[in-house]
Formats: sequence, C-alpha cells, structure tokens
Amino acid sequence: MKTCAACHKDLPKDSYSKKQWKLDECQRRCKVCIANNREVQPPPQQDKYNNDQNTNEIISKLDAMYLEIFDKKINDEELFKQPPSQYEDCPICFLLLPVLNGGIRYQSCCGKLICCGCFYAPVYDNQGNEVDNQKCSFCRTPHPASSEEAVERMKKRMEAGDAEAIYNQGSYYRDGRNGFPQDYNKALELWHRAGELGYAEAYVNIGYSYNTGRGVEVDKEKAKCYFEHAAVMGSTISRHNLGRNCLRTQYGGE
Amino acid sequence: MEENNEGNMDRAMKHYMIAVRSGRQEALADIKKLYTIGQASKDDFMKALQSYQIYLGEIKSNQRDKAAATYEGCRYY
Repeated sequence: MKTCAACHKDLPKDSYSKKQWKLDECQRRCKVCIANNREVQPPPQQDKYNNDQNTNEIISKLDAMYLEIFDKKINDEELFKQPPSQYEDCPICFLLLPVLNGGIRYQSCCGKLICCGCFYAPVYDNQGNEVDNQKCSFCRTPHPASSEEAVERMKKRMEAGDAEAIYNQGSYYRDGRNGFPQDYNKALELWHRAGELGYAEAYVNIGYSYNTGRGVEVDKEKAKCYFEHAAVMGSTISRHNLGRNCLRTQYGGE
Repeated sequence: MEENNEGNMDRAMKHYMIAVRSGRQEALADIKKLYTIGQASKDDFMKALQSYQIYLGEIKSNQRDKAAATYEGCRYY
C-alpha cells in the first residue's frame, strides 16, 4: 500500500503503473489521477488537527522534543566521521547484518534481528531427517500464529523498553494498521522515544514527517537536523539523502 | 532542502563515501553517475568500489546465499 500524492488515498500496487510505483512519496500518482490529469497537491489539513483543543499542547510538546535534539549540535568533524554500522552482528552466525531489508528478520519473541541465512537454515532431528519446525532459531519459541499474537508480543517488548518495538508501534500508528487508529502525533512521540534509545531509523522517519508535513508543519531546517542526527547514529539511508541534498542546489532535482 | 555552501560537491562526496562504506548500493550508483558526467574523479570512484567490496566481504556467507536463492524476498546485497 502506498499513498497517491494527488488524491491522498492509500492504494494497492495494481492501481499504479510500474514507473509511478518507484517514484517518491511526493510525486507518485495513481492511474485514475493520471487519466483525469489531476496534479500533485499538498495533503489536506486534517479537521482534527485544526479543531482539537489539545493541538497546542501537542505542538508545544513536539517543539520541546525538537529543542532537546537541537541542543546536541553536531559539528562537521563529528558529522564526517565513519559511524558505527547500522545493525549489530547476527547473534547466531556472528556475521555483520546486511543493510538491505531482505536480509533481516525481526523476531517478536526475543526482539532479536536475525539474518535470513540463519532464519531459513534447515533443522534436523536425531535421525538426520529434515523437520519443519516453526520455531524462532534464537530462543526456540514457536512463531506467532496470527498477526494479532505478534502485536501482543510487540506490546510486551515495548513495555520492556525495546527500541525496535517502540519504533514499529509508531509505524502502526502512522499507517493505522493492525488495530491501531491513525494518529501522526502519537507516532512522532513514539519515534522520539525510540530515537532517544538509540534507534536511528526513528529519527529518519521524523525527518520525513517534517519534510512532507505529515502531522506537523513543513520545516526543512528541523528535517535536516533530524537527518544529521540519524546519520551520525549510523543510518545509511539518511546519509545518502544528505549527500543528495548537497548536490540538489547545483543540479536541481537529481 | 537548501544548503548554500560553496564546496557542496566536496560535502556530498564525503557523505556518499560514508554511505558506500556502510553498505548503501544507491550511493555507489550515484557516484558512478557523477563519474560518467565528469564531476567525480577516477580516484573517488575507485575508492568507492573498493570500500563497497570490503562491505560485501563482511556480510557474504554461504548460508545467506542459499536462502537468497531458494526463498523470495531474501536479496541482501
């Protein structure tokens, strides 16, 4: 599911052409919008965002969080140092985890990131026959039977203070899936918590929110601040974005 | 985002180099593009290729290759 930038609906993959599917979030248009020649528009202001009495409170809370981040200023020397790698080693084979999402599996039982090699490794019984056991290869807990059970486990991990679980729950609030209501402010709050615990990807998402104006007003300065913090913490995607933004003024666009 | 620095190319190259060393393939593609239009030097491109090779050496393993070959959605580099 991806959002069309013209009609702002979440649509499945069939309703986009291949070319549009690969585009950025701010440029993507669905087939219907292209046929009707609808141009890309900024997202409509949510009524809740305008009318809610708590809005001012939430905004001041987010501002306070931003100032906390902004106080930890990054100088150039710190920014251009080789950061620690984004993920740790796989706890089973002790090799570095790859950056691409395909190579990583998150286990909701023990909260570990496991590489795809160890996740799909065949299991043998005493006679040497291959068995199909649906168990976590690190802690041997059976895999969750349904997505609800996985969310239950995630909540437990969150209470224990697992940064990855907190970040995932924030993403659920952003998309409004798995039984969570859509609430951008709640998502931003959770991502802030995950970022404080040292999860770089959370700051990247906050940066995107400030860039596109999702739940907050568009503020490129703040977005850049968050991207830099994420880059220093080791996020490769924000490092790549920072490099692109340096070139944008020279070449315009790509 | 705007950044009105004079040495933008320099900064971008530094960012790209770090991204490539930590395993971002898109950054390597960008350096290649810059090299083909003559903005990046041959040295830079070579250094980027070498550091990406080092990263690949760190993550590659037989087990992962096997998983990537048999299951969909396991591409890891």
